[in-house]
Amino acid sequence: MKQNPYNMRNRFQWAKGCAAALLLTLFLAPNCSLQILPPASMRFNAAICVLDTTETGADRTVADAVVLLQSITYGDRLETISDSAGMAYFTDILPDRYNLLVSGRRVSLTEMLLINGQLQDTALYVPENDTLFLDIYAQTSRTSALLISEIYYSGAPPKPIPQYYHDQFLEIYNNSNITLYLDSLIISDTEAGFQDDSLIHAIHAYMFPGSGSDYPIGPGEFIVVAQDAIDHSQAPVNSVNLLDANFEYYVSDQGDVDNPGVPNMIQLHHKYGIDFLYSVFNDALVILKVKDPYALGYDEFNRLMLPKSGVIDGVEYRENTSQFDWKRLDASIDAGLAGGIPGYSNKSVERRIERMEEGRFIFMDNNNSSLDFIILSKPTPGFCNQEVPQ
Amino acid sequence: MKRMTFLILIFTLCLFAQDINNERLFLDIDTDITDALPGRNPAFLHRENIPFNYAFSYRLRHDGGEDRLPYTPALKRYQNLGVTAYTEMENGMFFAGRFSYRYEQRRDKLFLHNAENYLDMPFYFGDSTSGGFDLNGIDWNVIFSYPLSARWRAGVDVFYNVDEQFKTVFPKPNIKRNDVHLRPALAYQGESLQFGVTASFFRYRELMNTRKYVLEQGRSPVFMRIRGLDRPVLTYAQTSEERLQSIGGNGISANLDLGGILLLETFYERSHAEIVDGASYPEAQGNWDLDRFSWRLALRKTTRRSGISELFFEQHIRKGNGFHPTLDQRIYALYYRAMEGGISLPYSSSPGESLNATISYLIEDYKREDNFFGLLQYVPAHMLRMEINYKISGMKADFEMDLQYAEDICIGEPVVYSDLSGDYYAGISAAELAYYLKDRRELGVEMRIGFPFYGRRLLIDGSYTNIIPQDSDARFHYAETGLTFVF
Repeated sequence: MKQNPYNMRNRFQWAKGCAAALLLTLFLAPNCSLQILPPASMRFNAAICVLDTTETGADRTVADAVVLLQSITYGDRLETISDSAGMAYFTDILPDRYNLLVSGRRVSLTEMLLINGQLQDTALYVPENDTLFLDIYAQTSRTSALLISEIYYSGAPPKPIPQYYHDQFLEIYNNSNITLYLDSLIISDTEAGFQDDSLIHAIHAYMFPGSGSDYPIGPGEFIVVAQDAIDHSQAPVNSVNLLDANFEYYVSDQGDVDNPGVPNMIQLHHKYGIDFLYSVFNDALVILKVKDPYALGYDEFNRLMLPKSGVIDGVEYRENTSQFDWKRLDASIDAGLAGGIPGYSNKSVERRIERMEEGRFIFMDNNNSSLDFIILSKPTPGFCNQEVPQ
Repeated sequence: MKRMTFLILIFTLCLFAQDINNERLFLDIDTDITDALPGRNPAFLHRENIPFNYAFSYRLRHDGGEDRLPYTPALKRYQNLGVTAYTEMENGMFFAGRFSYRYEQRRDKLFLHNAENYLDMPFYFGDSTSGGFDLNGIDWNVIFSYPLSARWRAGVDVFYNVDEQFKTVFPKPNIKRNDVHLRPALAYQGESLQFGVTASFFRYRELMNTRKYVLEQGRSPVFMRIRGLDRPVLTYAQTSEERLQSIGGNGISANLDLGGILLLETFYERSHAEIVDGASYPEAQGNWDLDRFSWRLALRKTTRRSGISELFFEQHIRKGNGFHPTLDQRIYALYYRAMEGGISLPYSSSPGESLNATISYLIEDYKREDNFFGLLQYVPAHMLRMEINYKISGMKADFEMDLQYAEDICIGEPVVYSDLSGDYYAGISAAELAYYLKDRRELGVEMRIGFPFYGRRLLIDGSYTNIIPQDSDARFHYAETGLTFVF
């Protein structure tokens, strides 16, 4: 069909008009300037009120309590002290799931009680940089004269020997100013998931020998209980020398090593394993005293049940110290977690020194291992190399 | 002064209006049967633009080099065997179909554990699943075009893909994708006016499984994290061995051709992705939205002697937002915009021979915000691009060659608001920024030849693009070759 030149010219003019309008739009649109300023972050402030909710505490606020905020995702640890109104303030914290741990003291003329509280795996966030107000309910717990002062559970480096763990030990310290006796004291581990149970579900339980006053431990003295009281410091293990350990575990029917010069712990219950092996990743160890360890019998999975009321001290440890699910010990024994050590790293956890008193260490005992324990790059069986805080 | 050249590597995937291809962007799959249609509108399929009856093809794509983003594989080798058919059916209906089998290898792929392209959205790191991946897949693409009247046609384009990606070493992650894209369209074809509208609905699903690897804490080896510029925002997925990512979206595009004088194409698309970690403890992992908008305007003048001269402008905008899975807050935002204007001039000395030179200037800038940590990166860039296209045909053979050259122009200063540190920042975000700020030059060549072969026609094509950063010996190349046997 023949084209009409007039129409073609009109069409071309129209097209040019459209193009001009579009080009104007084109040049205006991208020239709108972008906002090139740092955006607001989602950080916010938190105000945490520590309340003593025990029967005698009457919901009073707790001043001078250590409040620890532990980020689960990032591993950040923020620590502060509650003020005279029982308030602890944190600024510019990131939204995350947090573990909140509180340790304080209630002091009266007649007694001094530890107050522990915790909120586990709690999502914290308030939008627009506002302040989050949160109450944390604290419970009392008791401090102990006998303490677990050090646990070496991680085992020796795997090269050249893979997974060496016979060098594990547990160290007990007398934090009081009187002589105490270890006779019939029990060391046990406890199964995960029984935090709220009134019983310890022990996979292994061993008792110190003696009839009441055979094994004294004086003020400021250490006692080392070795898995195998032999020298582990020689190549290729290159770990600790436990020849001077005070006691050792011995499992006679499993081909265990026995040092005849070191007294053996009495086996009360041994569900499995060639020795009383502390898990190199996570476990909880308690020392306790009960009249009859077999009084409560066994649970359905052949674990010895022991009353928590008999626990003198307990420490729970994990490779990941921000992971509080399936905890083994409640806040009255251990509100926190020691550890943060990879398996087979030849590192140990040791209780912090709080002060010196009459020439002996007084170790920190908030019943909160997150606050009370530090990591040692080299285990120190039977002694302590920490600097004393001024 | 340093600047970036995104367009060269990442955004060449998708951002030109004439290259709006979801499959290329989201799945890294080439589909080409609509490429020759105006506006990629399937309703424009008719007798005039059927290139052949059917053809078998083999394509090999090979990308690799040292100058790359942290999550770009050191080597991509894609092989593709396909069969394509065009046919006219009864009642003026036309059909085109393509079926292909793909085998893809990605080597030294870090951080991204899935089969998809890097979209610069909050995504999930698979620390221990990084490495080399192989993929087997098949995809179908069919087009139907049906006449509604003498001038109106309706059409539909259906794309379907299934593939499986695997890694042969522990923990043997296995990623299965199942993707559908539907594009119904309308087209009007008048004497001197044609236009078309195409809608787009797509859903791309990716299911990743890995072997459960039980440590003391019951962790899986898939440590997926939502990215932040500084640190990972979330690490929820540490205990998950199954993850489902679902991207759904819709869009609309339109094209207008006014007497061959004014051509306009425009496109808008909105997509939404949700990620859920499954297995025993399903947990939402966040979601993101991505908006893409582009348009291209060309003014053409056709002369019988020389061919088509063209003055063109195009603009591309890309806007993304990533959201926290539980806090209902935006944690990440990106904004990219590019504008390009250029002119294309033809020259023809004899019938069957033509030369076309194009020169264009590109202005682009890119901003991304980490709203979780309160950080910002802004990088502007300018680029000069040149291209020469030469075609000759005769003696039953056709030959075509493209030469491309692009270089940065020093305009604009980057802005970086950050107070960043740590291994994560150094390994990812700092490396990204260093890449973006580097000056680059691009050299490319592309050749196509077609000739009779045993009574049929054989088409051979190849392209090679070399990316040359300044002050560095590192390089990156894109190479592709294809063999098509036409019946």
